[in-house]
Amino acid sequence: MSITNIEAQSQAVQAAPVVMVEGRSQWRLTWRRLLRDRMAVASGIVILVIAGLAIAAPAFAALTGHGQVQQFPNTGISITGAPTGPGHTFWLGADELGRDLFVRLLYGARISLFVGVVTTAIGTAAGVAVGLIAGYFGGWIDMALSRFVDAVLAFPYIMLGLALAVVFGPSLPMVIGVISFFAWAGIARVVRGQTISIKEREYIEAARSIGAGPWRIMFIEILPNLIGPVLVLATLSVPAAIIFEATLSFLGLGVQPPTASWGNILAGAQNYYSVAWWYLVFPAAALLITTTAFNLLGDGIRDALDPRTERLFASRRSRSRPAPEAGPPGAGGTARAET
Amino acid sequence: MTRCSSLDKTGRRTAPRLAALVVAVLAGAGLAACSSTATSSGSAGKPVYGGTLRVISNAGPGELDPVPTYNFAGYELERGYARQLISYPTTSPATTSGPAWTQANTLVPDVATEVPSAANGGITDGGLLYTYHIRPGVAWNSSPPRQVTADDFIREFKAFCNPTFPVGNVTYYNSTIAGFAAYCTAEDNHFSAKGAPAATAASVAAWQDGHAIAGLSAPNPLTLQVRIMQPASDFNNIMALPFVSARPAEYDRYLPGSNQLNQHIMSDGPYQISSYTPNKQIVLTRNPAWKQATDPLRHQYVDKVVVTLGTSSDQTVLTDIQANSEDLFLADLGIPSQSIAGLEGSHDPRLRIWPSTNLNPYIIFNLRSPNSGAAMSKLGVRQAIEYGVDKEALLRVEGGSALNALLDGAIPPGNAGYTPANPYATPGDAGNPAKCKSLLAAAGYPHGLTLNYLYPNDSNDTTIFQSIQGGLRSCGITLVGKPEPSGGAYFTDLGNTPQTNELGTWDMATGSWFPDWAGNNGRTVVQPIFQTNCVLGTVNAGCYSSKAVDSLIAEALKASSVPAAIKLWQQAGTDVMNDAAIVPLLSSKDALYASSRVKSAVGTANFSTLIQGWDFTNIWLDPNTP
Repeated sequence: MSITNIEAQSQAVQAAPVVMVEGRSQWRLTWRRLLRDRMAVASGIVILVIAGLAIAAPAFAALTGHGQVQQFPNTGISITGAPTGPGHTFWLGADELGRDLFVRLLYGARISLFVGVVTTAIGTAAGVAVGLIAGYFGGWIDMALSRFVDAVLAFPYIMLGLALAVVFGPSLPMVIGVISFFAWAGIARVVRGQTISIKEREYIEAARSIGAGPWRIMFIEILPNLIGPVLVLATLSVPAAIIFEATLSFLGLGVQPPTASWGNILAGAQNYYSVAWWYLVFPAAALLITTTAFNLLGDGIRDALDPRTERLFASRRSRSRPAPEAGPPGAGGTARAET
Repeated sequence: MTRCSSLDKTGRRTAPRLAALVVAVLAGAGLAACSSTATSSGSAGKPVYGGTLRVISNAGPGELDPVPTYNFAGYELERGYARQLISYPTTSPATTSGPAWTQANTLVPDVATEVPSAANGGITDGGLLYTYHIRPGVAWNSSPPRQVTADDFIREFKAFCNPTFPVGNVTYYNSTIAGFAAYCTAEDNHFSAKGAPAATAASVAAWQDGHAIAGLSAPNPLTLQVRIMQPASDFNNIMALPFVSARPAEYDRYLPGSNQLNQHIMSDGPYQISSYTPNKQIVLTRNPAWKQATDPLRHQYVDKVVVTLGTSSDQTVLTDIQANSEDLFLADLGIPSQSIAGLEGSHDPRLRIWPSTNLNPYIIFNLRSPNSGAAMSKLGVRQAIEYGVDKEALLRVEGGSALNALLDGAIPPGNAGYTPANPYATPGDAGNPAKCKSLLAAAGYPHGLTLNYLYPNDSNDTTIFQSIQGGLRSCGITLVGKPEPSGGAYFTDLGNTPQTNELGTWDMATGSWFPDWAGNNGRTVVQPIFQTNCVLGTVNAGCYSSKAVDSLIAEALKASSVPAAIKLWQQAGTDVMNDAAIVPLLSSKDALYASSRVKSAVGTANFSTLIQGWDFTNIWLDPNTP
């Protein structure tokens, strides 16, 4: 940019009318950025729709007259055992026992979302606590907790699931326990690193100098600054938990029949995909759509929390600026204008 | 056969080793049925010699030694290299009744010149002495070929109780042959005693050669005499099992069932083992010592049989055979049951559905469970469940009537004692919830009850459980599923009778039972499942016990004639159902599929009820089909 250009811009600013700039909070700005991310918004809508359908599962069961575990051997399967395909009676077809696949998918969504949310909540709480303690106190506490995190991250989760299923029997609480056990470690590692960085800042020194104790510093001074990355990690861990649950149930280690979960529905479908495409396609699609939506939403939240992120605004800049004059990545005025 | 083989939903005939236990499930289905009209892919025609029969298998038989081998895959191969004194013909039965079925299960001479009977003087001394005359010319593929003798059969019996790899089912022999149990006990004591010699090939052979079984004798090299303890109308059936194959003296160099013996298997049949590479391949070629004139059952049509091991996918089996890149599959594989309806619909001549005599699946009641006020010990509760189960739904789930026969009684069709009576008939076999509820209320459970249901955690058994669970839910019975690995904890819990029974580890369980032979076979159906025998590893896993049934079994076992035995088995079966000891559900049929190259005297329909599969010694290959 030349001196002439700078002078011209300065004159333009001085000549411009005075506009009152409304102060906006960090969260409000983040929300505005998130709303501008069409993919994230669409993903959020998809998640809300799926959650709504899951909540309304009993209503759909009543509407169709098909309970979650209710079998219709006379209409749901042929005399040779082939599941009935999608149609008026069974909207998404039936499974090998003549149960309504649509209704079972809705009930399966309840399991998937419940497991995803609950295990994420448990894992996030545990991960934040461990990360904060390890990062703040350092020393042997950090050493011990960090090695434990390493051990958890290195543990083969399928083996643990198998072992626990054999010892305690497969069940939903067992699934939640296994997933939660693995969900916290990644979060703890990130939180620890952030905590180590933040605790060296001046305002923490100031808090300490006026007598704030370690717990107050951790949870009042440091924790609020971690919410952004933790929120992103939590959002991304939900689809991981859903996949984890589906994997365990697919292997017979998770939710047990006749209770529906997407994993055990897929397990049942594996012998029928050649004669009943719907039995495999619909639960697989539900799993794919849900996990993709959560992942895209997580990406969107991450971008919205980080104004330096290029992806969100790249297209707008490319449209608003002539290509030859485009500045270096991250130097655009749009982002500054938002802040 | 104690789980010698069974069908799962995919049509796979599982071949667990030497099962001790029997129950378990697997139901299956099997497969669909061609009717009796679907016989050949190209007509019987004149036999053609030559070519290589390509057979696909998962793990193969495991061992090639007939003593321990107790699975259909092993039986199929043994048909080529290990002959018995008497055996069953290879035929084409379409149902479990009628002349074809009778023929399929009528014993015929093999190495023996005739099947012993009172009429031909083969059974004497009040039914206690059986005499088998060995056919001259039946020879080992030794160098030079050597006549098979009575001592070769006695050697096989002596190997039954070897300390390393005993016979698949010793019960048949130590309960019939005089002195056999004492011989086994002595051998067991010898090798298990403190300071006993290690069980080596030499020590085992030396002990066996130095001891005799009192009931076995060889008056001359071509005559075998067997003395039994009491008359047994089914003793010839026992002698026809593949365990009773001739055993050459050369086998004394190796431990029974050992890998070393697998590499030195000899043959008195039309084919010999040319090479055996574990987990890879078994090759059988023509046995030059075999003569057609000495064998009324087998032929030597194909030059070679190549068994390729290592395939586990049923879909691969179907695809390979349809592409004519493989010809047959052994009994440890199947074709996807979901594909069978399509194959049937297109009248694919390569598909053949065979009748079976199994109980697969059935529901076992743990009569000693303390759960829910010892509900399982109450006749009213068990009878309520008999009425509550929706068998029609299960039949559909398992592939329909083409693949399964719906059972009403404890003894399936094709077995001694079968009767078409249905003491717990329900409309359309779909269950009668009202009757079920009223019986439950009368038994003290007006609000229903909750029971534990043990089942293997494979996909088909899970489906069976859910189907049963759904039916019983309508009459207020809540089944809590207890899935366990089919090869491990399931058998541990189900077979660890009586400990787990009295602990209430389970209340109901899925079981399956495959008789070792058809026809006069109460010894392999009624006795193991229903005779009082609440011990570790029992087949009677529910610990059913009835003095009346025990008495009928004892009488039937020593009946002097088949009709007399059958009458007693029938009464036993009726009593068992009156006691509601089990819920019989289905008898799964057996689906076989062969390439269009495969021909036999009855087209592609070539089946042995003994080996529950193809008899490749009666197959030739169409030279005009690539």
